[in-house]
Formats: sequence, structure tokens, C-alpha cells
Amino acid sequence: MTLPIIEFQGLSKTYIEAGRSHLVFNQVDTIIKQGEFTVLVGKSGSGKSTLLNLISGIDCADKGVIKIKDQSLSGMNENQRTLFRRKNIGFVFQNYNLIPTLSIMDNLLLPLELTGQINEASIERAHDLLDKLSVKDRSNYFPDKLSGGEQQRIAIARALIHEPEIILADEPTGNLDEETGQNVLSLLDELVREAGLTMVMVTHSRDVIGLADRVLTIRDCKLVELDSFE
Amino acid sequence: MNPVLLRSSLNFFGRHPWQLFLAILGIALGVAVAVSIALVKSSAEESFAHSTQTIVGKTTHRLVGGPDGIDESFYTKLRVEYGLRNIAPIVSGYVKATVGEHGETLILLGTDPFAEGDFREYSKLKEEQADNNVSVLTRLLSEANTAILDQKTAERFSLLKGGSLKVLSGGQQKSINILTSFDSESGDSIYNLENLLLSDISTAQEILSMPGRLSHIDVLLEERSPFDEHDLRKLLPGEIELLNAASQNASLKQMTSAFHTNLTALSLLALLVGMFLIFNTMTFLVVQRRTLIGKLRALGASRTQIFFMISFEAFIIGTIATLLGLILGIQLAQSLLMIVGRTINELYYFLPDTSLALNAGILIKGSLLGVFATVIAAIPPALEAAGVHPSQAMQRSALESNARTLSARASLGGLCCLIASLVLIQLSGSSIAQGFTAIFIIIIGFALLTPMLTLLSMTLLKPLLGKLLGINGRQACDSVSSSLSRTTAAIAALMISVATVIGIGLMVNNFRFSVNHWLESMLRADLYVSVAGPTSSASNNTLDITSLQQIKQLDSVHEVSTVRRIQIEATTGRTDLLVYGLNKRAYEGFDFKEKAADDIWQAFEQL
Ligand SMILES: Nc1ncnc2c1ncn2[C@@H]1O[C@H](COP(=O)(O)OP(=O)(O)O)[C@@H](O)[C@H]1O
Ligand SMILES: [Mg+2]
Repeated sequence: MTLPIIEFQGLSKTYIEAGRSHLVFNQVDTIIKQGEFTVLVGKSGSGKSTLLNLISGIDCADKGVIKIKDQSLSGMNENQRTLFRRKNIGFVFQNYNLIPTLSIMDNLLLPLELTGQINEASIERAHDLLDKLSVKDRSNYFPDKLSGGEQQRIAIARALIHEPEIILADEPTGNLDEETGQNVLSLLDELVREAGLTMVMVTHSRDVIGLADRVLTIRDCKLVELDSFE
Repeated sequence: MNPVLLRSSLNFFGRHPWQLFLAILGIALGVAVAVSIALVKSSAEESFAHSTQTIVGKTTHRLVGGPDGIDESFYTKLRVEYGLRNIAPIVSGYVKATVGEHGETLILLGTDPFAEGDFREYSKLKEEQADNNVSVLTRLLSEANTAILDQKTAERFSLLKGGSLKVLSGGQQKSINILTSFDSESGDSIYNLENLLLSDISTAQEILSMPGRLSHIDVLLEERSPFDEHDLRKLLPGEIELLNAASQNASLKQMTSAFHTNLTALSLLALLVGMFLIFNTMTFLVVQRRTLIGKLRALGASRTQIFFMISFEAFIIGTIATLLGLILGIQLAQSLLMIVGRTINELYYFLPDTSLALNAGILIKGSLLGVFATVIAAIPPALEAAGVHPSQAMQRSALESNARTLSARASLGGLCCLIASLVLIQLSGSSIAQGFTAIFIIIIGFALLTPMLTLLSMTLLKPLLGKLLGINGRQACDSVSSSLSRTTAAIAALMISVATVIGIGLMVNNFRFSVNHWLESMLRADLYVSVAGPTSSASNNTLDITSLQQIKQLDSVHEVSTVRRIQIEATTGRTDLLVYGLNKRAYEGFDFKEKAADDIWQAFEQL
């Protein structure tokens, strides 16, 4: 039996920009189960990134409850949410978000370094991940010396390094050419399934939609389930 | 600090060495300027106090006569008849000394070495042997026109081993034989003073044309002295006054107070500029890295970690820059002190020792200024960076829309600052500290107005630049206004620097202007003939009356005015007395505070 890992109850989110309020989510209820691979599609500006930011605690809901692993994010303060994110969530961004002033190895180990949990085993794990993603020889480079595909592979390794239970990926191939993108996505899928992690990914890649357990989209400020065939 | 964040900082500066260099330079300059001016101020004051103290020695009282001094027979009378032992005769005055091309104004101090023992420190004089085993002391006393020089001055005259020195006093040139020069090891030694020509009484009288006269008599009144102040006063003939050292010091202080006020003002200004430089440097370093910081936040770096990263950077940069700033400041102070010393020397009094006193208090304060100001200046941007929402920090437009609302509030604050400073200026009167607080508030006020002014000027400039440069011109304006958070910090820094430069320029110019004005109204003649000595000092010396006659007889000379300036010392302080023999045209140089000039001149002519 699979347990729910992400739960939305009556979630609402409004942005206020330049004096006008802009409703993104209205009374959303959803459950995502452990080990599920969920793909989120939808047109630009519909709120996909906002949803990921709400799950990771980068953003806060105005109303409703977000529960991750049975813990309510709404009850946490900024610092607690940062610590929670650091422990439970691995993030893959469209623009990779590698830190330009850190070497590839440091970028990879950053989530562990920030919590001071670095040890022999984790370094070994880092080398292992770099090996699997075939960027082993790049560990002492700085990000600007790497190609886009290589940078995204490092970002994927970084999202996995601290063994989080949830992986959030926001258009991870948006900046890559198709072939490189496919390559990166299948690697990500493989690694996530291998570890039995839960993943929510924003993407438009048809091939990935084929791999997903569920496909969601945002319509009229609500989350709507799509059939894979739709 | 977290090691990975430390590495990130190190690499950031490794990749932007110029930025690091500029940051360090900015802070170091701030510290250097503040420290150097403070050092110069304290050194000048200390050296002033010290040289006064050395010359005064243990003297508790001083007997002074009229402008011509005291008859030396009175000294003998005091010693022999009244049995007053702790007294020392002094003959002193300024002379213009030359060797070959090199000329300087020196103070000639004629003393009686046997009476001096109790007053001033002459440690080496007695042991020092001249060439042929006769002590310098013996030669100084037994040979006519002999003197000794301090070592630094002797070096400038190339007279380290002695030799002949030409001295000009009261329009007469004489030759003096320098026996030797002394280095100054003991801090209290009289040889520690520069520009000092030391002789016996009779040589000084001869050079200064004061036969049989003394400039003053130093008196040391103690418990065991046969007289107290009251008794001694009763013995004095009418023209001789007994002054105590305290009142003498007070009048010296009064004489130099304007100069010290100037230095205080200058050092406050330097502090102000220093602090502003530091603040801008740190703000710029943080604002520039907002995206990077946002990424770190999104990846799980906590606010505290970011805050400590920035503060730690500030601490390290501040420390390095402060060390550099101290070194720079000491260097700067050394050269400034020469200039300041020369000015004091020329304008006010003798400043014999222009060596830099490394006042520990100032160095510590300078270090605290550098390190603390840097860290404190980094706190607002560090807090801001730490407080940034991770998603916001990754897109600068969020910050900028923030910056626009902030700029409105900042302008309001800026206006309040300007009003507050205007009020403070009205209330401050002549208080320097309050004046500078007001200036500081004005600077902050204008800095706060910068974002709004930038937006405004860009809006106004855009159509113009658009016409001149097309799309490039419009885009340039847009990019300035759309990245307010970066541009305004730079604009404000530039604005303040330019303002400081203009301000100092104005100050100097204004000073020059008033001096010029003063000179033009005061100095009506084409040529001036005067005896040697500092500009503002009165002299016992007078010009030779025969040379005055000769000058008057020259065909090219139309008119001559004469002035004799003497200082009258009294228990109430010093007074300058000026005696004029004026021609009509010279009248224009006088401004009277009360009554009509015509009435006054009429009265003057009837005197
Ligand atoms: N920080 C923010 N402040 C104001 N409005 C925002 C912010 N982030 C996103 N939005 C708005 O919310 C809507 C959803 O944005 P987003 O989740 O980024 O869309 P997408 O589906 O393209 O990822 C958009 O209209 C966007 O303008
Ligand atoms: Mg998006």
C-alpha cells in the first residue's frame, strides 16, 4: 500500500503585483502518493512553477494546508521551511541554478555542506552519481566550463545527493536541445525510480508524459487530472 | 562560517579581483584619510605642547620687561642681593640663517649654562669634547660668537661637524661659529628641538643687538625658595612683570586655537568621507550578488547562513583594508605633517619637532572605524540579502519593483533629512560638531534622494537621447531605471565623492579668497622690508634706522610707511601693540568696526 506524501487541502494562492491581485490557485485539493511520478503540464503563466514553490516551501499558501510527509508547511516559519526543504526536497531548475563560484564537486555536495553532514560515504556517493551521469572527469571544473546538458546532469546529481524523498523538477530540459534533453530525462527517471522517490516534474516533452504515472494540468485555478492519451 | 559558503566567497573574489581590490582600496582610503588627519592633529598638538614644555622646562614663573627686555644688572641683583638662586637669564629671538644657498629662520636661544641646570635638560653638553679636548661648554663660554645646532638642522645646513653660519638679525648680517651639533636621545633634551641655535648670553646679545639686555628671566619658585610669588612681586621695579607658566601656556594655546579648529574640522570631514566610502563599497558588493544569494537560498542556505557569510566577508575585507589603511594613513600623515608643521612654523609659533607621534589611541580608533564601519555598513545589505525570498532573488524584476516603492519612501526620508539638517544648521551656531552632524545628515539626505532623482532624470532624458541616439539611447535610459538597486548605489557614491571634492575645493578657495581680500586691503605697498622671523610674531629687533633713511632717499620710492610691532606680556595675556608711521594711502587698508574712519584718522593725526 502506498502512502500519501504530498497533500493539498483547500489551497489558495494569490499574487499581488503592481497593485492588482492575480489568483493562481483556488481551493485546490490533491494527494500525491509515495513513489509516484507526476507530470505537470499547462500553458505558460498558469501556475506550474508556483505549485512547485508551494511544495518546496519557497512560497507560502494564502489559505489551505500543504502537508508533506504528514507535516504541515503552513505551521512552519521561514527558517523551519528552509531546513525542511534542505532535508526532504531535491530541486532541478530550468536554468540549472548551479552556483558559479563553486566547483562542480562543491555544487554537488552543497545540500550536505550546508547542513554540515558531509562524510566519507557521501563523497563516495557523489563520485558514484557523477560516474552514473558520465560527468566524473568534471568534478574540479567550474559550472561555466560545462555544456548545458552537463550542467543539468550536475544539477540532477545535486538534487539527489542528500537522499531526499521528493524531487521537484521545473522544465529541466527547457534550455536543452531535444536529444540532450531526452538523454537527461531518462537518466533522471532511471535514478528516481531506482531509489523509489516521488517526483513532480513540469515538462512538455511527450516522451516523458509517456513515462509518468499521472499527468496533471492547471485549469481555472484548479488541478485537473489528464488521461495520458489526452 | 560554513566552509562551502566560504569557498563560494573566496571564488567570487578570485573571479572578480578588481572588485575585491576596489573594495579594499575604498575602505583603506576611508581609514587612511581619517587616521592621517587625526594623527597629524595629535602630532602637531603634542609636538607643540612638547616643544613648549621643553623650552619652558621646569620654569614656574617668568620675569618679563618691556619690549626691550630686562637690564641684565637686574638679574645680578636678584641673584647676589636677594639671594634668589633658581633663576636663569634668557636672550632669545629669531634670526635668518644662511650657508651658501640654503636659508632658514632659526630661533636663537642664549642661556647661561651654569644657571640652566635646574631648568632644562642639557645632558650631553658637559661631557661632549670638541676637537682639541676642550669641552664644548668651555668653548661656548670662552669664545665669542660660538653656538651649537641641533643635529637635524645642522644636517640641512651641512654643518654636522661645525663651521661658519651667516645670521641676519635686525638688518645686520653676522657670522657665527657652529662648534658642533647634538643628536637628541633623551626625549626631554633641549636638543630634541629643531631649528634651534643655542649660544651663551653674550653671543645672543651680540647677534640680536641687545647689549646688556635679557629677553626674560626664568624663575623656579619652590617651597624652599627664599621668596614666594607675593614677596618676589614686591621686589620688582615697575616695568618688570612676574608671569606664571600656566597663564603663558594659556596664551600660547589661544594663539594656535584657530589652527586646531581647522584641523578638527578637517578630521571630521575625513571621517565622514571615510564612512561613506565604506558603506557604499559594502552595499555594492552585496547588491551585485543578489542572484547568487537567491540560488543559495533556494538550495537550502538559511537566512542566518547568508547573513553570516556577508558579515564574515565584511569582517575579513574590513580587517585587511584597515591594516592597509593604517599603513597608508601613517604615510599620508607623515607628508601632511611636514606641510602642517611648516604652516604652524610660519604663521604661529615655532614648531621645532615635526616627527609623527603614533598615537596608539588614534590607531586603535582607526582600526575600529575600519573593521566596525565595514561590518556595520554590511549589515543592512546583508539583512536584505538574507531576507530575500529565494524565488524573488532569482528574478531581479521583483527586486526592482520593490526598489521603486522603496525609492518613493527613500525620497521622503531624504527630504526629512534635508529639513532636519537645515534646522540643525540654524541651531548649531558655531559648534563644529553640530555643523558636521548637519552635513552628515545632508549627505544621507541627498543619497536617499538619488533613486528618485535618477528615475526622474532618466524619464526626462529618454526622449532627448531617443532623438539623438535612437533605440540605443532609449534603452540606455530604461536599463538605468530598471536596475535601480545597482545604479543608485553607484550614482550616490559618485555624487558624494564629487561633492566632497567640490566642497573641499570651495573651502580652500574661500579661504584663499578671504586671505586675498585681506591682503589687498591690508597691504597697500609694493614692497615690504622686514626683520627675520615668523610672520605673526612680534620681534624685539628693529630695522636699522639708517637703512630707512637710505630707502626714503631712493628716487623710485614715493612713500614709506613704518610699523613697529611689539608684544606686551602681562598677567592678563599677550597683547600686540602696533606703532604706525603712516602715509595717507595706507589709511585705506584699515577697516574700523565703530565710528567713521575720518574722525578716527583725525584723532590719530592729532596724537
Ligand atoms: N513572485 C511573484 N509575484 C507576483 N506574481 C507572480 C510571482 N510569481 C509568479 N507570479 C504570477 O503567477 C502566475 C503563475 O506564474 P508561474 O507559476 O511562474 O507560471 P508557469 O506556469 O509559467 O510556471 C503568473 O501570472 C505570474 O505572473
Ligand atoms: Mg514556470
